Amino acid sequence: MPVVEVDIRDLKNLGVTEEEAETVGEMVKAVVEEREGEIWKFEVTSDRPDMLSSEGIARAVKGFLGREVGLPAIRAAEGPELRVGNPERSCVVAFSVRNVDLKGPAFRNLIQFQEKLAQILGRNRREAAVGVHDLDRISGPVVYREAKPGERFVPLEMYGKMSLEEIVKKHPKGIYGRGSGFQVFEDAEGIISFPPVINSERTKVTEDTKNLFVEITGTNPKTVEDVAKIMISNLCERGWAVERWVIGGEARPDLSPRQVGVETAFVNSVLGLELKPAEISAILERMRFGVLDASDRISVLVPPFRIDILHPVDIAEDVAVGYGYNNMVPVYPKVHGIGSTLRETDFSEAVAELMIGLGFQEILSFVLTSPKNQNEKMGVKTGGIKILNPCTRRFTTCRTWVLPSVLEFLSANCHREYPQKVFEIGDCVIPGSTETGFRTRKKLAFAIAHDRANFTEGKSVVEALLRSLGLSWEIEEKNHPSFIESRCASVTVGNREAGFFGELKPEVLLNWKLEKPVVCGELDLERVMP
Amino acid sequence: MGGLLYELTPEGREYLENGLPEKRLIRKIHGILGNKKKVRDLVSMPGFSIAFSWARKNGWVEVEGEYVKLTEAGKRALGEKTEIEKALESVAASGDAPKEVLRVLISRGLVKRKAEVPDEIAQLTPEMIITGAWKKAKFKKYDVKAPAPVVYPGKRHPYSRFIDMIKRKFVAMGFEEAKSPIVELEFWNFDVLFQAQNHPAREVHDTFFVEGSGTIPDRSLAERVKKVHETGWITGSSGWGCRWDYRRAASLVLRSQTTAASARYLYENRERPELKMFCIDRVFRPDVVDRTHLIEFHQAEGIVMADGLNFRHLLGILKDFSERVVNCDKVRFVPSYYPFTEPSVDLYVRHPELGWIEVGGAGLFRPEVLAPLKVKKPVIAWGLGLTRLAMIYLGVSDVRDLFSRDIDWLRRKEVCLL
Repeated sequence: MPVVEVDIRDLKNLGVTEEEAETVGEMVKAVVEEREGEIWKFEVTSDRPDMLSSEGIARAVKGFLGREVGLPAIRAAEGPELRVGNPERSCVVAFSVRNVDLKGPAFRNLIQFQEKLAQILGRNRREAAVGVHDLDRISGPVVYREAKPGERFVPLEMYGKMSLEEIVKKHPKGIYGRGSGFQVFEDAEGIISFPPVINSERTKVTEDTKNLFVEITGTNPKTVEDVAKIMISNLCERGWAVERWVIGGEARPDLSPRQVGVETAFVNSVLGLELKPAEISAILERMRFGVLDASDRISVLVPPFRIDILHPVDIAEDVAVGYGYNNMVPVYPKVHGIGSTLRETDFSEAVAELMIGLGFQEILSFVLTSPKNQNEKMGVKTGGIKILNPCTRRFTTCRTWVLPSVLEFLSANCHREYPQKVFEIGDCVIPGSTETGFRTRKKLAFAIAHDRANFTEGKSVVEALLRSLGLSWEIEEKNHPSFIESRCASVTVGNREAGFFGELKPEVLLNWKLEKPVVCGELDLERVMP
Repeated sequence: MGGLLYELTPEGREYLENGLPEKRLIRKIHGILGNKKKVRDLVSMPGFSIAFSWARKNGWVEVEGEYVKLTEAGKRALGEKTEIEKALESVAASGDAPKEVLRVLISRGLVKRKAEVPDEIAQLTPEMIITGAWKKAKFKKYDVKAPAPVVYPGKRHPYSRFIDMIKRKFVAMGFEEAKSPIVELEFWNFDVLFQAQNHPAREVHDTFFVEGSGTIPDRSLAERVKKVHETGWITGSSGWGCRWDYRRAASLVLRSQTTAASARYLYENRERPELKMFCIDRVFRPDVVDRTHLIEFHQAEGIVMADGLNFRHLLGILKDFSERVVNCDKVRFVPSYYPFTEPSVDLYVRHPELGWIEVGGAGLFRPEVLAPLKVKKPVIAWGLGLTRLAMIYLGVSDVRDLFSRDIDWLRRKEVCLL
């Protein structure tokens, strides 16, 4: 969930006390995670990007407390025209904000808010990005257009002009410009913004800025409008005057509330309550909705910043939030059910029990692994899946067999007391004829390591296990690249190879930095499950 | 000779069974006229020279020319047991005999020293038990506080034991177990769960993507999911309002949430009047591995489907679960958000030492999830992050230690009960 840093003094300015921020915040989806002096970190749920700023949190808290209820006043006049050329990032909204006061925490709040919106709602600036400028430093009409190669301007925090190509290559924010066409905002004096990458130094906003120009561009028209609606709504919360610029003859976004009909009976059936229409209406007004008609079918007015309301069930949740989750009496549902574990689980437990009886310690490893461990160190080639976005070279695939995990364990314990007898029962991912082309398979691997570990000791273990499982089996000599020739055997159960075991080749031992003989093996549990 | 034990040699045993050679000799002479026999007739008898020398030494026989003649003492000896014979019997029975005779028996090679029976028995042996030697000796006093060698039992891994215990709790509460594959279609991992195709959780830093692509065999299900995403379909929802791409849904990921198992299970069992399911399995998410983060970790998931279920029932389940599984006296419900549930809630429980901790999230499945799956009853769903709980119960402060590679830690770690 996103985390936003809020200066508690800013919240106080907006009419919320420390105690209210702490206790009520949590009840309205903004949980205080950490406090560092005046800076409080709120974890805000991702459906409520409108609370990624002080204004949004204050609005919700004051509403919950009944201090300010109903639809907030969200108005925006019509502003100047924004001319739009033919930019590849074609969705655009712009507005200006007059007579702002960015002294103190409000400045940092605004900068963080637009960044968070672009990152979270704007999907890392791809779907929507925000540029905030000092309106008073913009002269003449503003145009949003595609860029020409080689165009230059002074980007934010830079001293000299750079070409757009240079910015993308060298500027810390250049990464946002990769992979799509270039477009710019331009006023009479030149480029003021290169979305979604960087603004110009010339129109930089400071604590002294009095009037703002905000441009939002992107690839998803809905996201661009949502970001605009939320920003405008929150700026209005401070009483600042917003003007929506006219694009294509229309001042956007539409800030009028949406009307949603919600049945009282539906709300009560979802929540398990018996609330009357008037009670629901009162709660919804505290949650900053408007209510037109408090009847069995309530007409709810959804404010523009509540982009999370998709279905009446979302309104029902707000009723629960307003009612207070902890004011509801929990009821244990009387639903019949006979508990059971999967046969696979029971069988794995039985096998684990036998291995423990045979003196083995169970170990637990990751399914994620690398071809180096799965193949190279074992001297084999197995086809595993390929993770397209691994975060480290140690984990680029899923294991196809468990034995390498067990040897990795022995390797990590080569200076510990011997004998070592360990086993693991774990999932593997192997090719299969399923809808994904892969299957998940449980396998058992065991290993015995000490000065005199040998094939016979391993065979005793395998046979003890199979005998205890009530199986009949065949042991045949097997050639396996990990094992010493003639000291490896396959285990056949019901005409199918269920596994193998043997003495590891010295070169395999050395690959794992092991200096003791190891007898080990692997059984496919599905093939030995009675 | 306290403590020492003796046993018969094969020769001694033979004599005990068949008589001493000197006795056999005099028996041969006895009853013959004049109680004498020619030496020439006796030398062929086995062991004659031993027999003769001992018989003469005992004064049982004397030599008369070419005859060996029985004496009066020899005649008496026929009817009684000699000291030697008695001693043989005694050694056979108790491993001991009077010292003087014993010396003779040893010199004749009929008896040898057996196991050493010290004055004090340190280690009781089977022989001591059988021969009765233990009766004569004292047991050496043990220092019960002296350190004993350390041995390690074979045992379950503490974390897998913990998982088994949680499973048992679910079973006790009437839930049946389900599972789903590790390599999963985005469809089951996200789309069915009404996570928009541009949802941040579906980006590279939150989900592992797998090379290749699969198929969605149930095309009509895919069609319903598409409609619900794009327009809300018949659910009364507005949907996400963006185009739904089949190819994206058919892409492969590593399961990033066990809710994928719930979705599959719900669809398979949608006709049942009611159900209670649980799943405990691994999920995979990119992250930087550190003390508090793993990229592969366990989730527990439960769902209940039945007519008339509502949000208070969900709270009831969470409360019950906290009391039974987490052993906490107090719970707190905090509003939350999950794309597939509404209303959604996070569960905090009060731990006696650690205070309030967040243990899981829950909600009622959204209509946009249930309608395409043709589930007609409300469904309660909740998930628990097991790693946090496991760390508390196993006393582990670094989450990586749940998958510890340290055999000494495993050997020494005590068994933990919930």
